[in-house]
Amino acid sequence: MKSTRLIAGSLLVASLASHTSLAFFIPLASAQYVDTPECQQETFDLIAHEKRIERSVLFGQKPAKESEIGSVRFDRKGNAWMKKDTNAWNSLAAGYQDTTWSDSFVDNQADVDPRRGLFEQKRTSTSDLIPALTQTFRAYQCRLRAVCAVATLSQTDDAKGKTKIDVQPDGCIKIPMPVLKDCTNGAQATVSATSCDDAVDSVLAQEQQIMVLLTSYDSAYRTLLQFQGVFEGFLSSFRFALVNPLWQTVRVIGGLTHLPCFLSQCDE
Amino acid sequence: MRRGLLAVPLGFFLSLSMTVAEAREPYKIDGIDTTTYDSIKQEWESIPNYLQDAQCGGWDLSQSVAGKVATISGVLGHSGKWDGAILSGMATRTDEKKTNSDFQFPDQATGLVTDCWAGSDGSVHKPVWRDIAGNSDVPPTDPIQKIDVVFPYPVFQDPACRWRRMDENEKYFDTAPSIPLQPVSSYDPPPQYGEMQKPDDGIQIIGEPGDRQGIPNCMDFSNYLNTFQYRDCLQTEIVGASIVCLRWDSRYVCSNAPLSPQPTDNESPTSGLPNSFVCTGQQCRCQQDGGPLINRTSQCIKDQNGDPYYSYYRSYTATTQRDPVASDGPADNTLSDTKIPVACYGFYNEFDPQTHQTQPQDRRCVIKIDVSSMRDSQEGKGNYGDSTGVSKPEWESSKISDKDPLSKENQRQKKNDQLDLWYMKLGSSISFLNEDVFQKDKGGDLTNVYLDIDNLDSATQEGSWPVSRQGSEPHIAKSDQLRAFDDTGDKRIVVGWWQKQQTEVASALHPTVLRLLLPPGYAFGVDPSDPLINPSVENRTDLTIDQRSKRIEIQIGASEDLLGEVLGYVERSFLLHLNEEPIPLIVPMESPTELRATAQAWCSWYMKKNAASSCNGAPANVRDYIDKLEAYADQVENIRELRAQLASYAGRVMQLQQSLTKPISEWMKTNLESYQAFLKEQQTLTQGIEQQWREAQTAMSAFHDATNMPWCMNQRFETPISSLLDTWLPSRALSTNTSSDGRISADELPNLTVPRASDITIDLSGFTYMTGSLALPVLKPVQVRLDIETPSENTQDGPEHPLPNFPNMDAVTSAMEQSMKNLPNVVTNAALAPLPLPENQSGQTATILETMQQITNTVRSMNERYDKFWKSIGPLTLDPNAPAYDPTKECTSETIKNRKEHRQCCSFDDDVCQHVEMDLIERIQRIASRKLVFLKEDYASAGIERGAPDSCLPSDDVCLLLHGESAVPRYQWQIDGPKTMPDLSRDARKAVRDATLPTPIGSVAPATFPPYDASMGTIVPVYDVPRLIDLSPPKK
Repeated sequence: MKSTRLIAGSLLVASLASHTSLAFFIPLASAQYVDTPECQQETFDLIAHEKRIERSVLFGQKPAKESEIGSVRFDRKGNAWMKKDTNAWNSLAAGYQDTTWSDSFVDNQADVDPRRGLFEQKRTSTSDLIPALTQTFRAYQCRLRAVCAVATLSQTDDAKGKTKIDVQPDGCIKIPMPVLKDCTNGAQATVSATSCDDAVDSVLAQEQQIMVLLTSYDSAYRTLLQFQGVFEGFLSSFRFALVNPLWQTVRVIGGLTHLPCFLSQCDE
Repeated sequence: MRRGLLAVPLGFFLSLSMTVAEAREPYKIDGIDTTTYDSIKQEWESIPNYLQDAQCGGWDLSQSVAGKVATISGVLGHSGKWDGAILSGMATRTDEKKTNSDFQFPDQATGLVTDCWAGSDGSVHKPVWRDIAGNSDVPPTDPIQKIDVVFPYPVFQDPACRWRRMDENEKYFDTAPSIPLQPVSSYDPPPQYGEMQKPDDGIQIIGEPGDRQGIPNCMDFSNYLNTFQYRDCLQTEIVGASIVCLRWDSRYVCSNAPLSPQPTDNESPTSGLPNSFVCTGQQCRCQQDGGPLINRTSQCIKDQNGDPYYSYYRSYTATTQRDPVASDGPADNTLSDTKIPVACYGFYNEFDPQTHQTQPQDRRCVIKIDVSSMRDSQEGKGNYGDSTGVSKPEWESSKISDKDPLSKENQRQKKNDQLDLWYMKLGSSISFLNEDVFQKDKGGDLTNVYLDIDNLDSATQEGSWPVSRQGSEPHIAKSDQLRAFDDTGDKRIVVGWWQKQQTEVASALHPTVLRLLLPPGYAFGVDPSDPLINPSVENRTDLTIDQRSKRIEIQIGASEDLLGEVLGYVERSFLLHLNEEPIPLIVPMESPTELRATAQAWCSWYMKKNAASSCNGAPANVRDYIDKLEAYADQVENIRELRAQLASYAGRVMQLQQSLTKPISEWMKTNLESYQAFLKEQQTLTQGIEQQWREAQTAMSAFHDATNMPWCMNQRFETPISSLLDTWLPSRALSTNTSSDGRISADELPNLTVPRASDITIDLSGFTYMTGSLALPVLKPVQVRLDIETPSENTQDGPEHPLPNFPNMDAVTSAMEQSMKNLPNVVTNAALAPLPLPENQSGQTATILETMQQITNTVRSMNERYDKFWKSIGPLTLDPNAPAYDPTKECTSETIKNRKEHRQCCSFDDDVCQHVEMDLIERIQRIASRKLVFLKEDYASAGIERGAPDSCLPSDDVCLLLHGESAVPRYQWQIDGPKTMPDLSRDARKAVRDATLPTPIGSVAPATFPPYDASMGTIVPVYDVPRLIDLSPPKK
């Protein structure tokens, strides 16, 4: 087995979520999030954006040119683009049906930059990846909290006239986040005040389980690779010296069974 | 042939049988645990006790054989040189040129001779003096004249002692014919002669009963011959014109000698010799012309006619002389104080048994000897092992002796091995690190030891000596066995012949080994639970990995299902590696019930709004919406049909797989059938050979364990008895090669020639498998709810958006079917040659079995010849209830003991008359064999060491020769995939996208795209397939 497929978008259910390095949460900020459907959509779009960033950190993001036909990218507006052919990307988003983007343009417009993922590192044990994975998850947590924070702040006067504001969830550094324009009018509250936090909690819980499962899988896979290499080297270097005496023993013992009896007494 | 060493522990005779001795039950090692030293040690510790119970055997190297091989005198035969050919195990004759110059005829011999001719028709013409009327004994005044008169002549044949005249009733005359004999013409009927039979009552017999050749009968025959006399004038005188007889007397018919020779007799100086008389010494050695070897007529006593006197009966008295062999038993009975009378019947016929094939009439002598005490007297053993303290002979130093592995002197001492990493206690067969060297040279790091293992590890296991090779020096088994010997002397024809047959049978019974070389399992992910890699215990004989070729070598004892396992394994290795390739797509997820309810809601909405009783009159948009919903309800179930695509595709792949493996299956089937047939034939052959050979071995066992070992005796270094080879050694009957080799050769002995089978190495390591994997497209439908409009109170004009037609999944199905069509075509027009199975010998089974039967018959004939020899001097134990001698009994009803004591023969070659006169010395020497304790020179007659591991000297060894090994060209079977494997999943994905997504990504018109309750921003990512991440290390 030389490769693995990591299905980032699937719903994986892990029965055990006890990976200690991932089992921490940043305390929630006391958000007063009152949203509208538009505000909620914009918030969720931002959450999805953060998730794509996080996944690209984990699994990498190939440049558009190297991506396979059928690959999907998102532009900065959240529109999905599919590579339909070589150097040809199309979208079904309204207003873009007649537009075809090139690879370079997709890279330029993509909401996530091409990068090499943590899990793509070869000749590295999973243990060595843990700090980076932990940090990724921690950053993911902070950024999701920041999304809720900015969604709340966007409804306040602090956001008026600004395109970006700094938010600092508890335990995190200040993060500049875009002001959510659809949330600036907070008068039309239709959803509970904690819906963003609930959504983030749900996403984080899911991602945590995925990370646990992923880490376990990666650990097993890398161990197998390591064992395969070691064993192959072992067989190449030592096996004759170790196996040959056994081989000779077996041959001699096997030969003994062919010895006939020449004594007449054996005839009985 | 006698098996020298084997006879030591096995020559025990406990039976009191009259004829056949029985050896003690052999020591058997059966069913012991051979995995531990203790269990084996426990077993062998009981062997000395077993040997201690032996009656004879063992060694005494302090005694020399010199003087212990009996010297015989008083009888005929050939002197021997006991140490003339030590290696042969037998003595040589003193006459090395084999010209019979060593033949001895004892001067003490006595016997009877006659000048009467055997085979006469019963009459003889004699010119005798008679008067004119034909009368004898007329007065000297009557003129006489010579006339021819026909007289009776004794009729007899060889053997002579039992011939007499018969009367008209075919009864034997109890008296001699009337003397003088009357002319034949006066007999009416003429006299008849015949061999004497048992006399009827009332007829007086002189001497022994007539059917026996005994000494009295021979004397009686001599007297009888001498009664054949005729009248003649012994002294004539011429008176005038007439001749008159002055003295009438009788003459012997055969010798013409006068019965009463006068001093003045002017006739032959030999006159006075009767028809038959007693001979002594060389007189008894006279024989007729035309004998097989020697014409001694010129040395014979002749009568006055010049006719020689031939001996027809001889009597000898043999004496033996040898030194006793010391043992722990009773005093060695050397027979030195015993005079052994021997009587030989028939006309003397001198020949050299070595060059002359003896015939039944040559077995004519009776040896009167009592051997009933020999079993007891010849008991006694030497020592076992070398505990005598006597230094071993010179040749012993070159031999290998057993070493006690636990003895300190046989172990390497730690202090002496400081330069060696390993502290070898060879006796314990285990190695430990030498701590000093380990720390000093290897830095105390075991890794360094492992990395230098090639230089450090000298612990190689050696094969058994006959096949072992250490460096350039072959180790060949040393023959530490005493050589077997036989009565062909230094030629050892029978020994070599038998041992060669044993080796041949071993070759025939040695099963052929198939050696299969397979590709390395670890390299291509072979299933560890594969029965071939973990074969059943019965099949596991050899499993190893060869470094150089990097392949698994499996040596397998032939079993019926073995090849099936192998080929199944090979077949499995060709299984396609499949890789699932997801083909994502979205499909509507709706409930038919819900759709129909919605349709009904629109109908109800219309009827309520327009107070209509039905919705038939509904506007086109409503009517169309309702119809579409009904159609949706009908077709949404069809989505499930997509599930069948996986099974359909898998089935297609299975067909592909079958196409690939079918040739292998057929190849396997063909080879399996022929292989099973081969095994069956080999099994049949083996069973037949085993059964037949067991009979031959049993016969040979009976010969050397019982027949030729009536009591404990060591026949080594005695002069061969060539006449014992007759009737069973074919070369003795050959007309050629009669001089130098004495017709003693292996010519025309049944000879097995089993073609040497060869192990076969079948190299399948060239079998390759298809690398990479074949994509198995698997549809991954993502069900998305449709955005179906439902009427409300505020609805005015019906649905705002018309429903397009339900998406047609035929395009998806077509895409999958096209993907199946794009699977590679299988072209299997190449056939693999069948496995070259070992050559079967079943075609020669009949020949082999027939030859084995001939061998068995030969051994049985040999056994019979020696058996008669030993029985004729029996019995081995006296039977107090045996019947006493009864001269009135028929000869053949008399016991051997009684006939032997009276030196009687019923006929030539009967139970008692078994001894050839010309090698009596050798025969009596054999009877007077020394005790069975192996002495100094016995140790020297060991075999020649084997010179090559792949050959076997039949004169010294019975070998298990390993088969040669033949290899066949390497087999290769591979699947050549297309140069570029079709990316079936890519094509399938594109087709599915086209069929299920609107333009511009797909080909579905946006107007007909189902109203999924999801944005395009969420639908499109469904079609994204995460890429593979390759974590394998970069290639060097």
